[in-house]
Amino acid sequence: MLWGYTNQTNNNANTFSNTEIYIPNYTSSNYKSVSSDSVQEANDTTNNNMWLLAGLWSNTGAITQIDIGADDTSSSYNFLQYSTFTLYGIKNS
Amino acid sequence: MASTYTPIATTTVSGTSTTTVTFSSIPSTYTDLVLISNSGSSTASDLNFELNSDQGDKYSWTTLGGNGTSAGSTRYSSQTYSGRLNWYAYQSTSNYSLVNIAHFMNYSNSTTYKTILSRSNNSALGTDAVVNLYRSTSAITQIKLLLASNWYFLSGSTFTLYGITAA
Repeated sequence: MLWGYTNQTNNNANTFSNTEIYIPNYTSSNYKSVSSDSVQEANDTTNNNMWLLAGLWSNTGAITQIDIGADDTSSSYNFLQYSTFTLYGIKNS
Repeated sequence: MASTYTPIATTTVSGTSTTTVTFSSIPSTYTDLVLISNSGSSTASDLNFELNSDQGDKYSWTTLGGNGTSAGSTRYSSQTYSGRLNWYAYQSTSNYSLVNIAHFMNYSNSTTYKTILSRSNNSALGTDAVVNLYRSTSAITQIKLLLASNWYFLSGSTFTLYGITAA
């Protein structure tokens, strides 16, 4: 599933994109819907994108693992040093 | 561990008769509210909201959205009955495929109109960013989610209200 967009190594140095992904009811036995916002701002005329994404994982299993890859998980692209990824859980009670 | 999102209430729909979901007596002790909806409806439907049982012409909204083929923006002003949290991405009749995240900013103050920021997503239909304005200075104490006509929310649809407190 496409989550968002990242800056490349040849964009402005020290500039990282930001993506926020929300997955409600990730343990339910329904299909999993996803909301994602992704922004890229590199202070130039081409690397200035904002993505609003709606996703659906057509699987009724609970989500127990999330793999994040640059382009796709099987590609040879690498995340740049100092990239961070944080997973939070939100409870309804 | 301290919570940022403090759960206030949650509703999981059952049966085939739930036409509205209401959060009442919302405490005024938070700074902002966040309402997370994961829902479907008996007939494809927008996700509308009414505040404080107010059906006056106090609702307006501007949308930015796309459906994979086209993108656009629209605006409604001085609407009666309710505001709207979506445009392209509405509720489908299966798979609870609408995800809506709505932020009610500074909801408990009694001096300003209320702004609601929402993101609405349905992977089969589209994605939206919507801003609503509720032209009332009253604190928000009730949020009602409603469908058009006599349609109902699908069993298993979930709606959770959180409070966020400023430091």
